[in-house]
Amino acid sequence: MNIFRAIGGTYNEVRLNPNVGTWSFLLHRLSGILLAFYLFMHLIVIATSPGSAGAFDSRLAAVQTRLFHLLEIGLVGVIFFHMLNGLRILVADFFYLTRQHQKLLWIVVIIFIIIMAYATAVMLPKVFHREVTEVAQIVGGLR
Amino acid sequence: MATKPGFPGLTSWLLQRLTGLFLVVGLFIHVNVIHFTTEARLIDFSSVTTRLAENPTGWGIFYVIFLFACIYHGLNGIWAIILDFKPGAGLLRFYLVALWLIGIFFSAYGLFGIFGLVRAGA
Repeated sequence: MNIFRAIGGTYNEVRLNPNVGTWSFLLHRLSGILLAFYLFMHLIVIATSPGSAGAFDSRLAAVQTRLFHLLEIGLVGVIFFHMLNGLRILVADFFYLTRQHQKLLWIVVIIFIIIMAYATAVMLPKVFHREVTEVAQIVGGLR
Repeated sequence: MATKPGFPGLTSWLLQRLTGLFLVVGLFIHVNVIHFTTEARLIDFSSVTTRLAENPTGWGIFYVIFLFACIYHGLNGIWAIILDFKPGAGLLRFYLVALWLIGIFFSAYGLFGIFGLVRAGA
């Protein structure tokens, strides 16, 4: 398996057949790879020091900055795109709706926009909130 | 998704869909608790262990199933991508072993984290 040939093949597939089905297929693959990579990074951050409050907090503080809160909105977007598109594949597979897959994709897009509007409204304030390390110091001082 | 005799095929296709369905529910719970609620303001050891202590058995069972479903779904998805690129049998065997080793390692790592946090909250 030559990785460059594989990428070239995927590029040709998109170029020769540039419809919504091909794009959703490609985005599903890319979002899946991103999420698999994120899963392992997430496990390393969360599961490394489960018995020590200090070590756990300092590890989490490193990923609770404004930048990471902004990236979390993107993460939620990737999760929900992959989830909704996965449900579309599942429905098309099990309910014999393959011919309706383009309509299903537009339903996915609408639900995705609604969820992301909610997610952004809830999560964006955190981006502009004080750094969590500052908050942790305040909380620590109050204890 | 093409497959070869002796390699995972239909069962992995079906399990990908079943774990995917579970992850829809699991991720709604996880994302809601972590990102959409007040805990999200400051996630720290205290907030996590306090939440787990409210129902250690329930959260423990949920997170163990969630962990296995995530790891299986992620690695099986990568396996499906590898199959699409039609590698030779030797390379395919290598990827399969590598994915299994990654899966076993992170399953053990995740279990260590889950039990550690649940125990700390108890």
